[in-house]
Amino acid sequence: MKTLLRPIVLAMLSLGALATPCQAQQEPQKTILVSLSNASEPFMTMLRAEAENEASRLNVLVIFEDGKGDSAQQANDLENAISKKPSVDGIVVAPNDVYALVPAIDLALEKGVPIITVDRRIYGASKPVPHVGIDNVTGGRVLAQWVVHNFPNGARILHLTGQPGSSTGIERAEGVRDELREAGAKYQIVADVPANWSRSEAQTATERQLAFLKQPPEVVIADNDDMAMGALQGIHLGGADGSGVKVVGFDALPFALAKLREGALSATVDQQGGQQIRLALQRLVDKLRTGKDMESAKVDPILVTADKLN
Amino acid sequence: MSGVLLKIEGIKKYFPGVKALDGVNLEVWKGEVHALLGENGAGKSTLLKILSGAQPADEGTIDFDGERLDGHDTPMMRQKKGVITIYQEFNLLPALSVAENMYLSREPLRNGLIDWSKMYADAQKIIDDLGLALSAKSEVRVLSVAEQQMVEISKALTMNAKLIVMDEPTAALSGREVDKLHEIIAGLKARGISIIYVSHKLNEVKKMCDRYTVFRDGKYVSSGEVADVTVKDIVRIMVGRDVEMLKRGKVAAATGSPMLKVVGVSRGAHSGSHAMKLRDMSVEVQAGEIIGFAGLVGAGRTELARVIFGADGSDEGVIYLNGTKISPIVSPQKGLESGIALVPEDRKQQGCFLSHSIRQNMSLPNLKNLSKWSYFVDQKAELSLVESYRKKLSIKMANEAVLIGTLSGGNQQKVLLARCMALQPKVLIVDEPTRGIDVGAKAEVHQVLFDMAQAGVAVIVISSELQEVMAVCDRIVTFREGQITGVTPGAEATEEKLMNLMAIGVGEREVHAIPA
Amino acid sequence: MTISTTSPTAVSGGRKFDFVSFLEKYGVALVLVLLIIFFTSQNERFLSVRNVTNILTEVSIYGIIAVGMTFVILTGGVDLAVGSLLAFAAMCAAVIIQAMGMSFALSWLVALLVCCVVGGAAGLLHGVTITRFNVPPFIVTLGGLTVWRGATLILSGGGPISGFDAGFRWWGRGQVLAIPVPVLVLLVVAATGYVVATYTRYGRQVYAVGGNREAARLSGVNVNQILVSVYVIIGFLAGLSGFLLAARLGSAEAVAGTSYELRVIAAVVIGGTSLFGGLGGVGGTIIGSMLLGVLLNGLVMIDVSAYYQQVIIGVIIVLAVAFDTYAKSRHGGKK
Repeated sequence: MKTLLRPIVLAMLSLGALATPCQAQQEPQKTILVSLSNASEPFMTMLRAEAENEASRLNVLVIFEDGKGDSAQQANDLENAISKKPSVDGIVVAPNDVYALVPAIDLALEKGVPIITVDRRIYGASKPVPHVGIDNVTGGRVLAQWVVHNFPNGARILHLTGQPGSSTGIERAEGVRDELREAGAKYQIVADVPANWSRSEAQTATERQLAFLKQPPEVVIADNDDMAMGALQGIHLGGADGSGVKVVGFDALPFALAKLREGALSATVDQQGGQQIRLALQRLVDKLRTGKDMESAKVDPILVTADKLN
Repeated sequence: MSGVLLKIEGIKKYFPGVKALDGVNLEVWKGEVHALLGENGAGKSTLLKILSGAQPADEGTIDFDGERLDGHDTPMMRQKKGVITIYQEFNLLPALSVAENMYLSREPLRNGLIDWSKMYADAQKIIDDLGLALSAKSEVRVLSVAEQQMVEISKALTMNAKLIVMDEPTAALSGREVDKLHEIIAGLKARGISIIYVSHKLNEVKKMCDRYTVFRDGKYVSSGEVADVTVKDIVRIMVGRDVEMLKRGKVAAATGSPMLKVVGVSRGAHSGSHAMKLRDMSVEVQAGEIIGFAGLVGAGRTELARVIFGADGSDEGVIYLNGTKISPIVSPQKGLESGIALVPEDRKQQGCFLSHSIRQNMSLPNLKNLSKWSYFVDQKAELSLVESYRKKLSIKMANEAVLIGTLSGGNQQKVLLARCMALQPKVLIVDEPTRGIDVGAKAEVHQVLFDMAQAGVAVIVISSELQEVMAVCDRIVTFREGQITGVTPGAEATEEKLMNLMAIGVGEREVHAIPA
Repeated sequence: MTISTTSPTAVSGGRKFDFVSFLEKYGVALVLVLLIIFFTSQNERFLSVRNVTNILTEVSIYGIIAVGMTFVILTGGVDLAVGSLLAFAAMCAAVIIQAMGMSFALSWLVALLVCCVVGGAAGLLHGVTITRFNVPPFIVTLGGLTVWRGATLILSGGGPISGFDAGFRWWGRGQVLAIPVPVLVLLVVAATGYVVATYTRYGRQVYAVGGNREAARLSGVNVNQILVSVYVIIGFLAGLSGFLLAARLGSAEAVAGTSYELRVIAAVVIGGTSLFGGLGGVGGTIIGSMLLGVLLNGLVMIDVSAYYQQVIIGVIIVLAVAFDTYAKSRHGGKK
């Protein structure tokens, strides 16, 4: 894929250059790299689509790189984009891992390439990196609050967490656990299992846990919608003793909203991913065009239940 | 008589379910060539492995050069003490060169790095002294079995040996190489080095060795001066009974069209490579006849046999079977289907499936005829096949499920023979049928060949042992450097005549009669 | 008459119990039983119907491939591409089904055919490359591992394809007489594999090629044909597994089957088939697969992190092979 990308980008850049004489007044089009941790995740797919729209609205060129869930791959993507001549003008990145991408991001800072993170953060770059996203700890708490609200007498919970190294995974899980702990001992997490944001892993994990537990849990908190779908399938396959288990997710993606309407899914959280990436791109382009320093932005997570949809 | 170099006493060794050595003794003096004799299964190889340090003994002592050896010594330690063993199966690294093999772990160094030119030069000198046409730089894997044997011997000569053990050293050698080896052994002896010589070739033992020791069934039987016994005596001590090399009686010369007719086989005649070139080879074999292929190692006997069987190809040549043209024989599969069977030269590497049972080994080429519902193996038919050949060939085995790797060489050979016989071939080629086999089993194998010829099979025997070829064959085809040099009727053959036809030489030198 | 002193199996009765030989024959089954006992002691739900069903279903996905891998390893080869091939075959099927409208009668049949044909064809490609160009199987299938994975990613366009109809998904989730369908498929495949390996001429030839390739050739076996055939078999079975996995998950993922090749090889090797070829069999592979399945499920149950799981599996493979090699070397005393 990479070998195709280079000629395509060069072709596009030269087209851009050709267009210049006809638009002598306007500056050459800026190129922005959007580096996604794993483009095949539905949330990321949605980010990409939103990014494309926003980019054409802002009249910038955007190229996408997919880390495929591999930090080394994503670091490579970033380094290549920074080192090639001409390098990209700016970078929006959703880092796969809180630590592993720091060297690549430091390289961008060193070379003076403006960089901003979206959705997921990093810990410990050489300079503070602006970030657009929700407070995932709050997000986790919002989910846990739904459980407390709907199960006043307590509940046994199966908690499916996301990718262990991602800030979103770490912080969301932390939020869920903290809120439940503070709510009291009658809220018990009977199994806390990482499922890597993946639908199939969540399905397998749910099937297994349902077999291990003497009785099924009352609730499954899945830290993202894809895992929630997997949990639903896992429960369904379990048969009669699995029904009646409530499932909540996170991301408010279209397929999750559909399940919400059906009643299979009980709640999800909208982190306004589209809003996040639009904000990130806007701030980056502002920096490129006016030199205005990028500021972090917090987006609020919103609980979505079936009644709110109508 | 010089001092005692090696004194082995009361060595016992057990394997699961088997008593391989039950208290054996061996005494070797300084500067003597000592023969270690016994049938296969007598325990010679096991003792050699214990002596070399490859395996520990369960009981008994070994004193070497006045020092009691530690039973936990590694082979490296024994080598350092001066005990060098050359096994029948080679310990060479095929991908490395001759010189590298010879000097493995003892490469000459210059300033801490390997001195390649010195290594090649030293190696080449040793090889040249042996009179071999080998390059120290050749990769071992391209060498023939016999040439590899020579590398092993050259390798031993690079170490400071006090005692060299040779396990069947001439198994893969013939004629001139054997003489050369014996010259070398004589030279070593003159330098005060002792040799333990393990061999089934009793004529050589008579010629070469000073004293002998005989094992039978894992026990020590007797020892003495070679000069005091005849070959017949030795056989009787080894086997416990009298055994004669069978002689092919007078068989009426067959007439009519031959069963196998090979015309003008050639290969590589025009290429510049040093690979074996075959030049215009033609031979005919009648049904019921036993033909011998005689020649020095590398003369082209096995190569021609493999072309006939289909294991290798040729550039030119036509092969007829019973009057019908069957060439080109593109694969062993085709050779077998046409009715030609081959028992290969190296039974371990080319013949036996060592980790499989006797039953599987015997039935493999014949599965088509042992099948049930076309795809399945008819186990009953298979078992009765094994049983019938066990009786016919007196194969010593506990049962059909035993792994063939555990049988003695002679019995393994019998299984391979049975495998070919079961195919009821029209032509049977046996390559070195009695290599590494003791006298008793040898006679049995020869009898099998006679029986097959009696049944109308055309038999080709390839052998480096002239005695065997002369005793067993009706006619003897001699080979030299990829060409057929003559066909001698068995009755007229003498060692001198055959050697003349086989010898390689610059110019045509007559070889003098070999003293009896 | 001389007594044969060369056959180690001629054991006289009453000898002390040969522990190593016993372990060699029954060791793996013994460890399997011990593991089951251990895990059940940690949580009695381990042996519940539900969990056993889970274990068997998980085992069947890679167990089916392991049967094929047995044949490959018996010839002295190996196939590292099976995980990627599984994903590729399933993705091909999903793309075709999607193009045909996703939900239609007999979509499962189309998917099954596509998976098996794609798998078998890729296997054929592997086999021909190995025999015709003399490239070692390790290298060819290592290339296959990356090529088929890349092809899967390209086909998938970045995301999984899901939405298969009920008829398709039945193959992964349905049950016949309370036995999950994938397990039934495994039983059929295993039984067939066992019979072919043990009782047919073809099976003998496979063992022969692995036992001593030159001797097999000189015994009239068409070595190249046998070699190509085993890669076709495993390719076909990888495709079949891909079909079942996609049916079970309800989607064809680009990342499906990642690292399956190691699991499959582990199952075969633990089951006693020698990596050098010529020794072993399907029966051992099934037990090896079961052992692996029990181990993986059990470790999750007692909350061992996924990373430790990798370490444990690796250690077990090494121990299993080391023991097997040691046990076989005791049959020494070869002449």
